[in-house]
Amino acid sequence: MATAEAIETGEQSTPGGHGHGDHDHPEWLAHHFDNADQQFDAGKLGIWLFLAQEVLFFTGLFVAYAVYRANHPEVFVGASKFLNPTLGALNTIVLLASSLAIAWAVRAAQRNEQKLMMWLHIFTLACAGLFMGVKVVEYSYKFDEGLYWAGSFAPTALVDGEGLNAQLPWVFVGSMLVGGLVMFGSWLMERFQSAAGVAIAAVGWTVMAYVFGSALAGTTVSGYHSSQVAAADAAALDAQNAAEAAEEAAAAPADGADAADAVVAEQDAELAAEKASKAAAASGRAASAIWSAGMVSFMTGVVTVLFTAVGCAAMYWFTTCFRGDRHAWGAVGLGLGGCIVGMAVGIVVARGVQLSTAHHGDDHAAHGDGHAGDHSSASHDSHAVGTSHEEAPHSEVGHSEDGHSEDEPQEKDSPGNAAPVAGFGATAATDGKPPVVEGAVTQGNFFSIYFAMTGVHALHIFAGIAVIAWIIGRIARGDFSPDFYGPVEFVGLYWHLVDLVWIYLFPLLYLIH
Amino acid sequence: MSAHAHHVTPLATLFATFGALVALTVLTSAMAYVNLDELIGISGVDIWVTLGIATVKAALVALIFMHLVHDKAFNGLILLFTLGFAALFISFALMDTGQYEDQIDQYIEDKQQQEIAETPAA
Repeated sequence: MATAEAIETGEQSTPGGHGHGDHDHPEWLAHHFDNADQQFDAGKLGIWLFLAQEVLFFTGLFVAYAVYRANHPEVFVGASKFLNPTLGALNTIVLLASSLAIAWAVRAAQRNEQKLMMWLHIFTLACAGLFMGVKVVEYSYKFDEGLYWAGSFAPTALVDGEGLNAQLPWVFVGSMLVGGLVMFGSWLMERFQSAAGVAIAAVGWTVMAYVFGSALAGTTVSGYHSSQVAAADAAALDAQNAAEAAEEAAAAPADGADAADAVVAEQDAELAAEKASKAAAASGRAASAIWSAGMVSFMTGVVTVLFTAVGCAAMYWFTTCFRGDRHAWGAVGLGLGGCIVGMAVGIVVARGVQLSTAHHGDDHAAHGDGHAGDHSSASHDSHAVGTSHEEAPHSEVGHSEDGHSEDEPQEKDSPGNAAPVAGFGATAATDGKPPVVEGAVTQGNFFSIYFAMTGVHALHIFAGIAVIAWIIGRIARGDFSPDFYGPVEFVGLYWHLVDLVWIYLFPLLYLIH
Repeated sequence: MSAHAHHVTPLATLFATFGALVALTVLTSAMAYVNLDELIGISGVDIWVTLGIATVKAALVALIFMHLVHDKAFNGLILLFTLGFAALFISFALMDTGQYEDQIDQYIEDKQQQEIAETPAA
């Protein structure tokens, strides 16, 4: 079992080089330790130092959160309404359950309950998958509603049957299929040590690679596409503004000269302005649409190949790690397959919650709050009159929806389309120009912080899935006993920390009021 | 084999801890529907109660699930020192923010005035 220790300590072990047979210590005890306790305590100290680093690392993100929230409390209250507390609470409980399972698994290791230890770890992986499934649903809804990070933030109304969330049922079917294939392949591998098992699992990985690849490509490209459209519209607006300036210049000397000429010139300029702006917008949109379609297929291909390669490399690594031990192999496959199936379950549950609560209830109310209600009253007034900045932050929403798209019901009552507010609503030049107020960036900043914090946390979940899968393989291989279970406990401590971070993230992001 | 036996957490303790954690999660979620600031009449109470509940949950996880209560004190000390430095980090950043808040407000106001002045009158 020299390889096992080598993995853990990073030590290069050459077969036969050390002459393990000569020693009278157990094979899991590394050379540089006097006894089991010393090895265990050193390992534990090491993992605690690592966790300390993790806490400080996350603290950086919490500082960003605290500073922005201190500066813009009202933005945080408004923006957090876009998050679904039920899903946050669900994920909290899922993580707590997995923490319980891991703590219980350490107890099982101490009491030499091998089977129980194994199943508790597989349960933990399923919980991790469920957590990620809920995250997938949450992120796809955020993207569909245009709730991106600062810079790309452009809220739009959710359209039934369109966008990423409409793809979720297929992602569910895909993950069930993939999870099933991986589990079945692993079982074949374990039961018959059959190469067909590897092939079937590889097919599973490829399907998963395709599903993730197309989702990823769709997300990034559609995000880029919408930003391109926004840019095209902005260019159009610029053209219009420029033309209007010309128009005004043309109209200016009209005082002294022929009034009729001036009117004609003005109308000409107006027409030109409109044409220029429409042309700019249309060409920008068309170019971006063609580009997007090509880009989606290209990226899907690249990501599929990459993911398949990574998946097969990981499988190869696992096979070499547990060479000759089909039980270990089968168990790892079972765990990872269970994780993917857990994700499918998470997607179904979270989408159900999202459809029953957010979509038809709260979230639309929140939309009303965030968009139409606030910016119709505040944006133009505060912009033109310059009222105190407490009212101002909402005005950016009005600006960022500069598309004035016809398919958004709440846009209808926005001041851009509605009757001009007495006195200053009519000036087209001020409409659409970014009002210089602090709110222009802050709501996007909330989502920058949201994505950074939850995204980095999700990366930790992925890392946790990988190390727990490794532990599962070692459990199946029979590495652990009441005398030697350090790795089980250390990986468990890491998993608890991931839970600890979420314990703070949940109320700080989802429950602001 | 081990010179000293490691503490084995009773199953009842593990499940009781899990129960408490779930109960606290439900409590903190329910608090989102109550305006504690208005109820008590002190502004800013809510965030501290929320953070307090989160900290109790974190302590339960650290002490029981992560075994700190029966572990070597030094491991717990590492965590405490880390949290201390984290607190320093956050509080200094917030002090700095508070220090310059007036200037930032002023800057934004100036910018707004400037923007209005530059906007051609309709």
